[in-house]
Amino acid sequence: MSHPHLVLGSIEKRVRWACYLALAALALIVWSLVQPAPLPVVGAMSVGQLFGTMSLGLFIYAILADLGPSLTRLRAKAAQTAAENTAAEDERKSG
Amino acid sequence: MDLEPGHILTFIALAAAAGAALILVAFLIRRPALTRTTKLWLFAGLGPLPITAAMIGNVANFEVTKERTFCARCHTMDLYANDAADPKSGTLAAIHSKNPMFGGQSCYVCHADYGLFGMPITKLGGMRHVWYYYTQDWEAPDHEPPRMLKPYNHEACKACHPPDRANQPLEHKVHREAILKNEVGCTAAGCHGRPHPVNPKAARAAAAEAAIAAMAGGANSATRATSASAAPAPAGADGGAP
Repeated sequence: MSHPHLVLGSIEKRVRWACYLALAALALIVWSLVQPAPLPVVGAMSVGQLFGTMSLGLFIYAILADLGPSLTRLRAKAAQTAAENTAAEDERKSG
Repeated sequence: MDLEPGHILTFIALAAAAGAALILVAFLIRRPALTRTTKLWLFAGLGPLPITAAMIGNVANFEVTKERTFCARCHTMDLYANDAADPKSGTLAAIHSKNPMFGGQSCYVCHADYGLFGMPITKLGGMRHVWYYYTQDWEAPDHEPPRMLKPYNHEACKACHPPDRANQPLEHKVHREAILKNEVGCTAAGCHGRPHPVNPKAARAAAAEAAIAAMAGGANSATRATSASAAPAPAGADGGAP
C-alpha cells in the first residue's frame, strides 16, 4: 500500500495540474471573448474545451483517489461486520 | 481590443471566468490543505464557473462568427467585405448589407446552409476556410484566388424572396419553373446583378483558363471553362465569392 504522504502529494499535484489546465482554458476563452478573431475563437472552442474538460476530469480523478483509502476502510469495515454477523448467525443456529 | 459593451453574454462569460481564475490562482499561491472547504472552492473553480464561462462563451462566439466584421478579419475577404460595407456599391451583397434587420450579418445570412443542421454544417465549412487561410500563402502571386467550396445555393435567396408569392414580376413568371428547379439562379446574367465585385485574380485565372481551353479544344470547351470559373456571372453561378 502507498505511503499516505505520497498519495496526498500525488493528489495535490493532480489538483495543481487541474488548476493550470483550467487557467489555460480560461485564458483561451477570455482571449476569444476579448478579441473575437478566427484563431482565438477556434482555439477557445477546441483546445480551450479540451483543456477545460481535462482539468475537470483530473480534479474528479484526484478527489476519487483522495476518497479511495476512506472507501477501502469503509469496505473493509463493512466486510468485517458482515463476517461477524454471519459468524454470530451460525453460532445462534448451532447453539 | 474589440470588446462589445452591449454583449451581455460576453460579460457573463468573462465574470464567470474571472471568478474561476480568482479561486484557482488563490489556491495555487496560498496552497492550503485539501480540506473539505478547499475542495468545495476548487470544485466551484474547476466545475460550474469554467463550464458557465465555456458554455456562454461558446454561444457568444457563435454569435460573433455570424457578424460581417468577423468574416472581414481574413484579408482574403477584403475585396468582398469592403464592397459590402460600401454604401455606394450596387452589388447584391452591398444592397443586402444595408438592410437594418440583418445587414451586420449579411455574409452568414446569405451563405449559411438551411435546415436543422445548417449552422453546424456552415461553421464546419468555416473551419476549413480558417485552416486554408492560416496554412496557405494567399499573397503569393501564383496562388489561386479564393473560391466557393460548393456552388451557391439560391435557396438562401428564396427563403426571403419566395418565387411563388403573388405579384411576381413578369420575368419571374416566365422563368418560374426553371427558378423552382434551381436551373436559373438569381445572379444569372441579366437578372439581379453581381453578388460581389469581380476578384481581379479570379478574372485573370478565368481568362487564362478560357484561353488554354480555346487553344486545346475550340470554342465549346472555352465556353465551358468560362462558365465554370468565377469571373463572369453565368446563369446559376455565384461569381467569385469565397
